[in-house]
Parts: sequence; C-alpha cells; structure tokens
Amino acid sequence: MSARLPPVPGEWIDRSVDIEFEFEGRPFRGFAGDTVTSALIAGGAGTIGRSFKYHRPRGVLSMANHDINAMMQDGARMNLRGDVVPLRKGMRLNAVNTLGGLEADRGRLLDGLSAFLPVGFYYKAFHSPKGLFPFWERMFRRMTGLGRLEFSSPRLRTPKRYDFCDVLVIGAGPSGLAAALAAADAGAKVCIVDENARVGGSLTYQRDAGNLIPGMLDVLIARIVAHARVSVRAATCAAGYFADHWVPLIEDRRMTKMRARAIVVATGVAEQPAVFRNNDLPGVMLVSAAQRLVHRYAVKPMESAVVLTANDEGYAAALDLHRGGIRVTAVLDLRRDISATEAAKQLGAAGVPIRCGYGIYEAREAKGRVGAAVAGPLLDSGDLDVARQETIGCEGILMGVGYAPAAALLYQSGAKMRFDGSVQQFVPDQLPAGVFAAGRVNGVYDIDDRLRDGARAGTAAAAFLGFASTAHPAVPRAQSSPSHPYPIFDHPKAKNFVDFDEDLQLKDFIHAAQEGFDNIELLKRYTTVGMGPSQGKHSNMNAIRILAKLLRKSPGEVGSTTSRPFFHPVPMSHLAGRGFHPYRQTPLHSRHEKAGAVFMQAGIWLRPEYYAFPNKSKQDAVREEASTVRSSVGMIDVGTLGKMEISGPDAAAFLERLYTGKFGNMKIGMTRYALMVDEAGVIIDDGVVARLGEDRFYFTTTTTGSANVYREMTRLNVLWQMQVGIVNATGAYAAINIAGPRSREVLGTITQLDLSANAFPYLGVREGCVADAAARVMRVGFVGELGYEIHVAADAACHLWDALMKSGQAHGIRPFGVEAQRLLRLEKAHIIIGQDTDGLTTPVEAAMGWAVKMDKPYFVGQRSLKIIGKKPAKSQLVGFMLEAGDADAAPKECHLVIRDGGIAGRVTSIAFSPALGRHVGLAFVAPDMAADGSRFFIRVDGGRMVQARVVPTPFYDPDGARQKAEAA
Amino acid sequence: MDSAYPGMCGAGNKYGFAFLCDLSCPSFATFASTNLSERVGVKLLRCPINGLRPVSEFQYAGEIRPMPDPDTCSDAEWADYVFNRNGATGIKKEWWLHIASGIWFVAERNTTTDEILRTYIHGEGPA
Repeated sequence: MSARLPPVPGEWIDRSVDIEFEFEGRPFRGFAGDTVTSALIAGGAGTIGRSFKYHRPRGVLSMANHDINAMMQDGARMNLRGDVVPLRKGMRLNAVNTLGGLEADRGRLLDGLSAFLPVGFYYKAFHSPKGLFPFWERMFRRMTGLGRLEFSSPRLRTPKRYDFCDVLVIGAGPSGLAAALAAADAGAKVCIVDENARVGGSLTYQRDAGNLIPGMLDVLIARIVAHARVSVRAATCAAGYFADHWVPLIEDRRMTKMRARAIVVATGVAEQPAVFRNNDLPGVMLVSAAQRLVHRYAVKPMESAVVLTANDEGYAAALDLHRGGIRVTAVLDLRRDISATEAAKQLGAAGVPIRCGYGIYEAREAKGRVGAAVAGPLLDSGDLDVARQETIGCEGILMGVGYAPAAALLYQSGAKMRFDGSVQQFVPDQLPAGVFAAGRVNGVYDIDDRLRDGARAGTAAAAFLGFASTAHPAVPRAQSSPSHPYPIFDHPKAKNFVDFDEDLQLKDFIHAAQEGFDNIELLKRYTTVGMGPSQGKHSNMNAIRILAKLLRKSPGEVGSTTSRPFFHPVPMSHLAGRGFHPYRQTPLHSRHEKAGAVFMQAGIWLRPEYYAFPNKSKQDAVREEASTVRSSVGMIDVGTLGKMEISGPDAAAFLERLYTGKFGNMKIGMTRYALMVDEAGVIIDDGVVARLGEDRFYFTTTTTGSANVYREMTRLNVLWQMQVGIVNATGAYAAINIAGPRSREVLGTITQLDLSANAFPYLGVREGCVADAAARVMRVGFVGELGYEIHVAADAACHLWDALMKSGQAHGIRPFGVEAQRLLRLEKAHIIIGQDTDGLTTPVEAAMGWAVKMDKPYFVGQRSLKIIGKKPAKSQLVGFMLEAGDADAAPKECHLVIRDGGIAGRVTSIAFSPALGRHVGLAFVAPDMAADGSRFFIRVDGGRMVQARVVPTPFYDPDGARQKAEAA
Repeated sequence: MDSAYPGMCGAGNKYGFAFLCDLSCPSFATFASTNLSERVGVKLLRCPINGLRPVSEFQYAGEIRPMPDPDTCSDAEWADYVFNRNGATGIKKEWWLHIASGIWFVAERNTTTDEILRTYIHGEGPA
C-alpha cells in the first residue's frame, strides 16, 4: 500500500529519481528529496522505531529533527534521525535499540514490567543494597545505549572552516528571511542558515498561513538568493552560541566556525505534544508533522484523523489536511469559548464535527497503531469528565495544542527570558548587545507581524553595526495564546508520555516532586527529562507546566533549566581535530637521521636519544658514546637550549634581578652559571650567562624552559621599566658542544681563534670564525671534559657539523645523544632542572647555595629565600653510590628512600658509570641522612631494599682538572 | 586550522581551556602549554597594539597584585603575597599577553560576568 499522494505544489521530492533501500531487511523505495521516515511512511510502514526504556513501538512525532524514537543504523553510521536524514541509495537501515529486530523486539516485555521501573530507578538500584551494584551495572550496560558502535569503521575527517559576517540570521522562515533582507538592504553582509533541507520555514508546510499572499514565499526567497550581500545556507544547523557571537554551523560533513558581529535569532517554535494515555502510539503525531509529510514529501500519514487543538492554527491545519485527503473525523478544541475562524466555518461546512472544551483521554490501539480516540469534555478543574467520554474512530491523532520557543541560542547568549502569560510562552525580556530575536521565538505569531518583526530585527541589527537605517516600531505579540496552559491529562493506567526520549510519564514527575526533587533543575536530573537526544525540545515545556501546577506556581516562577551548547547533538567527528601534535626539529635533524639517531621528545623538540648501530644494544651504544667523550672527543647538538640576548645600560642589573647570581662584576669574555628561582624561592631554570660587552650579554636557558623564561623576562621588563632590549634567538642559532680531551685539536683545525689555555681559559667566551661561520664559542664543562659550545646561525649548522666530523675523523669523533650526556653529567653530579629538582626544591636543598648571592638589593625570590634560610631544610640532594654488585637490582629514578618503614626521600637520577665501574646517582634524603659515608636504603621494584652510600660529588674528576685542562 | 572543541561537549582534550585556568601561581614554569593549534578561542579580546583578536591568541598570566616592599614587610605579609590569591569574583586587573606579537598588557575584567572593561599597556592606563 502506498501512501504517496499525487504531486503536491512545492513538494521537496524529485519523482524522476527512484531510490531503493532496505529497512529491517525489507525492500523499500522512495524518491530523491525524501527523508528516511517519509519514504518509510510512503511505503506503508507504521512502526519505525522502539522507545528507549520500554521498547514501545513508535512512529512519527514531529518530522522536525526531534523524532528520537525513529533512529536508524546504516552500517557504521548510527543514530541517524529518520525524520531528517536524506534518503540515499543502497541504505541498509535497522532501527536502533531493539533486541532481535523492530517487529519481534524482545525488549517489549519491559513495557509490561514498567511498574517495577519507577522514576529514579537507576539511582535507587545503584544506591542499595550496595552488593547488587555489579549486577545492575552489567544489566544496565547491556540494556542501555542506542546505536551500535562499529569499532572497525574508518576515521572520519570532517573539515572545519572559519567564516565571518556582519549579521548571522538563524532560521530561514518568514521572519528570518525578512530580517536577512532588511539587514542586507541596509548594507550589512548577511549569512542566513536553516537546519532544514530548504529555506522557507513553516511556510513550506503551513500553506494557508493567515493572509499570506500566494507565492509570496517564492518572491521572498528569490530576492534573498539574488541579493549580493546575502549568503543562504540550508541544511545547516547553528548548534550553539559562544562568546562574542561565535556560532558553530553544522552541516552533514563540515563545520563552519562563524564569527558574526550581530545575530538575529529567528528559530521559531517547536510544536508540543499533548499528554494523554497512549499518546505515543504510531499514528499519534504533531499536526505540523502531518503537514510536513503532506506538503514536503507528498505522503499521507493516515486515512483519517482526530485533530486535537487549542489554537486557530489547528483549524487551518485541519482544513489543510482535510483538503489534502485525510478524513478529519473530529476537531477537538481544548478551549471552551472561541470565535469561529474562517477555517472553522469551512470545516463545519464540510461536515467535520467540532467539539469545543474537549480533550483526549486516551488513544486506543488497533493493529499496532491508533484505532480510536477516547474524548471527553473538560471540567472546570482542567481534568476530563470521564463519565461523558466518547470514542471516535480514527487512524491517527494530530496534536496541535501549543508551542515552545526554540530559544536555546537566546538562553546561551545570555538573554533574560520571562514567561508571558498571554502568549503562554517564554519570550525574550532583555537581549545582550548585538543579539536580536524575531518571529515566533519572540512571541509574534501572525504572519504579517512575523514579516514585520523580522524586518525590524534585521534593521536593528544593521543599525547596531552602524549601518544607516530607519528604526522600525516594535511588533505586537500574539493577541490570543497559541499555546494551551495545561494540555496534560492524567490516567489511572498511565502510559501518558511527557518525554519520548526516556519514556517519562506524568506520574514520574509527580513522584519525583513528592520525593523532594521539586526544583526544575533537580527534577531534570532525577527524572532525566530533557537529557535524551531531543534535549527537551518536546518535553521541557510540559515538564515546567507539570511542576508549576504541582507547586501552584506559574511557569515563569518555576523557570527553565540552563541551556548549554550544543543544544542539538553534534557528531564527534565534527568536533575531533586531526590529532595534530607539532614538534620542533633542530637545524641538524638531517645529520642526526643520517647518523642513525633514535629520537626522543624533549619538551616540544625532537632530540637524538642515542645513535643506533646494527647489532648493538641501546645500552652499549650509550656507553660507547660516553667513553668516546671521556677518552677522545664527541659532539652533541645542544641547539635546543634557549638562547637569549640582552643589551642596554641596565642589562647586568636586569640579569641580577632575574637570576640569583651576580653578573655586573663579570669580565667581558667570561661566562658564569646562572640559577633562576621563582617568587617562592623554588628553582625553575638555569643556564650560562656570557658577557660579550659592557652592556651586552648572551645567555642560555634550559630546553624546556626557554619559552617561559623569555615570556617572563618580557613581562618583568614591562613591569620594571629598565633600559634593556631582550631578543629570543633560540630558533636563530644552532649550537654544538664538542667535548673530550681531543676537542681543542679538532676545533683548532677549523678556526683562527686562539684556543690555548691562556688565551681562551675555562669559562671563557670568544667571538670569531669557525668553519667560515661567525660563531660564539664558550668553554663549558657540563659533561666534565675539555669542551667548547659553538653557537652559529642556524643556516650554518650543517656546515659546522660536517666540518667538525671531518676534522675529528682522525680522533674517532662520534656524535653523542641525550642519554650519554645525562650519564656524563651525572658522573659530574651536575643537576638537571626538573629531573633533580621538583616544584618545591630550593637552592639550599639542591646544594646550590653557592650560586645564590643574597647580598644583592633584590632578585626574584630573594625575600622568600631569606625566610627559607631561617628554617631547617626538609630534604637534601646528595650523591650516592651502590656497592659493586648485580646491576639487575639497581634502583630506578623515583624509587623511594626508606627509613624505619617510612618515606625519607627519592632517587632523582641514577646510572651505571663506566668510568667508576658502579652505579652512581643523586637522591633527596632527610638532612640528617646527608653526611658523607651515611648509608640508606632504597626500595626497588618488587619491594627489595638496596643499600646506598652517600659520597662526595662530583663522582668523577672531583677537582675538575679535565674540564679546566690548565696543563694543555 | 582544524581543532578540537575542548570544553564544548565534554570531549576529552588535554589542552582543554587550559588558558582559562589561573596561572598566577608563583612558579611561572607552570604556564600552560601554549599550543595554539590545539586551542579554541571563542571570545574576543582587544590588544592595545593589535586590536580585537580571538582569545586563543592570548595568554592569561594572573591578577596584577602589588608586591609589598621586601625590605620592610613581615614574613607573613610576604608569604601572603607569594602564596595566597583572592578567588572572589569582581573587577580585576590582569596580566595578558598577545602571544603572536609578545605584547604584555593589562586587562580590566569583570570576572563575575567575564566582560573585558578595558585594556591598556602597563603604566599607560587610566589614573
């Protein structure tokens, strides 16, 4: 049986394009332009989904993107909303949330058990008895959820783009179109979006709206489309409002991040269901849903229907559908006293019975869908007079009892809303700057008024942005209420649903309020109303009305729950980024790769951890690199160090305020270790300061600290207002440290600089030419051998590297990585900030007091260090050695120092020292354990205790003779 | 540039709105990782030099608090300055940095409503 109508003027389908698809294993066919649901209804389907909790059969409700019980799975794509998802060829659809298919769904048994599943069931089940928690958890996990996640589905990359406009109009119904046109005519660049496949809003299905001149919609759309300053985007959902008019626009396979200078919200209203027993039977739907099916898709959802209404639009709709071929067996009006409209007169003339002051008590089922409506007159109490009930045969019940504003974006923008009793709707009371509302969301209902209200809002938005325009007067809101104040009817057998997402019935709200959850926010969380996929679009307003009645308050006093972005579900693929993790490479990266480097991440940098050789373990490679440095010469890329220049009359004074040491007394051509603490006296960075001139310094920071140190220096410069200029040259320079007893010879062959011990002493700095490149060379001793740190412009780095490799070939020069450097510096007990210190370590605890000069007028952290100095230290960093023995049981970094069963410290660095033939390390211990020769225990993996002995540092070459290399 | 939407939908993202956290603790080493591509700026902020820019281009660096004279203040006063922060909302003067250009400036912000009242270079603001 096909429910497809003959061609309907303005229909959205293309009858020349047939589309075949499958639903629950059965073949169906539709047309291009159909949605899944419209094609299914056209093909005679009644039940198209199952409800979430009780697995009740469900059909169409809204055809407006709220049909959360008609959700489908198509392969890996899940939770497709049948009412709006365009039909595609070859779809193989199944209803979600069934146990064994839509028809035979075993979950339907739950419907009979509903008495045992009261409101708050989850909370109560989990609460007590506690022993049953695992049982309930397993059961709920099996029962809950909608679509089936396909873990094998490929990663979807959804493009994102940025866009900008003067005025963003959201909603392309009559008021939105009028607003866009008015704003654009005033000179603004306008973007108008609508979530529907085509623009036109309610005019695309409410064909007989008021005094609308026939064809006017087409004229309006044609003007908009032709307007040079208007961009029209259908099938685009404005899914949230963020600060300063930033609105994500969601399309099927794209997200646009739109920054508008002003927005007009013309999102209209969502028609609301009436609440009566079995109001969820297939065949019960919103009257606007039936109109959408008829006018957009030329589908007749039922042969005959009872129309339940409470407004004049209901009569127009009933007449419209009656003419469209649906036999209206009765119009029931919840209002008692009405003045008959033209539509009502015509319905009467057509022989349709009209009952005023009547409501529906329950829907009766026949063959899986509506068979009859049980109606009764309303009493003064608002209840139905059950004694005078009558049964009216029909295949469908169409609900047109009122609306709720689609005001989520207004709420999110910070608009203050108030409940207008005469419109029976929340309307904007105060709007934030640059936000405007128009049309039915603004409480304006008459079609002429909506057009004028749109023009007013569009003009106001343009004027807000400074476009010259004449102000339009305010447009009156609806004179009579289009929404009934309480279209909700109790029934002893319940099944009168308020929220179709979560199968919430009227009694659930009553019970929740009785249990004390009688505040709208508490009620929401306890009942879960509005928390399902529809986000309360069809349920929140009725929930507010129910609570208001229970509390004897007005809906305005009860208020609404907070609306947060996104108010409509957005696929995760739209939100997910590309997994983009930027990292930095030094200018020497290609050389490292060629040398077989295994890279590690150091901050955002990639650094060689070690250089791999075939058939050699990492440990062997690292030890060979280290021993090459000790015995001959090696070199390491240290270009990741922060490299700063500071110049000006106050340069030395600035450094003395920034670091703990003194720099004003340095000789030109010398370097000095520098330690930085924060305001609390905690070590945060270190480096080497080189004095290049009277008022010119070059200095390094740690690899990971450079960005923050530079940033803080610039802030302090703003604060201190000293006469200095600061340059971050980290990326501009490369740096190579060449170290080892042969380093002087290797460097000597590629530079004219005098490298003799007298001319270029330990801790000296020289500027000159190295391998034909301008260089700064510093004599450093981080790894404990004669060594030179050579800084050149980044683009000369590879040339320098190659020259050093060539010159060092005769001495067996090898590059060494971070791992070998860590070992070499550990043998010298040089600390690494962040490894051998933590967020509480002061210079005293780190045994770095020598680097702190308290006799300065001021430095950052000085005052705190004065206070700390008066108190006993809490821990002490010491060097330790293990007895020679099995290396397998050696402690690791962060293993704990244990005394009397309690924690007394931790290991910060440890390694096997080839030079010393045993494990050496640094550890924090209690101050009374720090004396040379003291023994302490470290608990290693598996709980075993390993004894360690405090020894003086440095472990290797304690006098520093090798790095000073005075004899050479 | 593509980016995730931390904070908008509860999607996990380790950089999620890190720039809105209070970074004014004493150790500036704890500045959040400033990975521009991972962040989303929905608010607009006016840099006194570069004009109106999305907040993702900026870094917040804590409330501006006058430092007590270290030579005359008591230990308790100093400890209060170093460790204690006033978390009550209200109109606050804050350090902000325009990351791309390195401009430090002062923003007067109503932290109750998250409105930026004005921005200016330190020392050049209204008396």
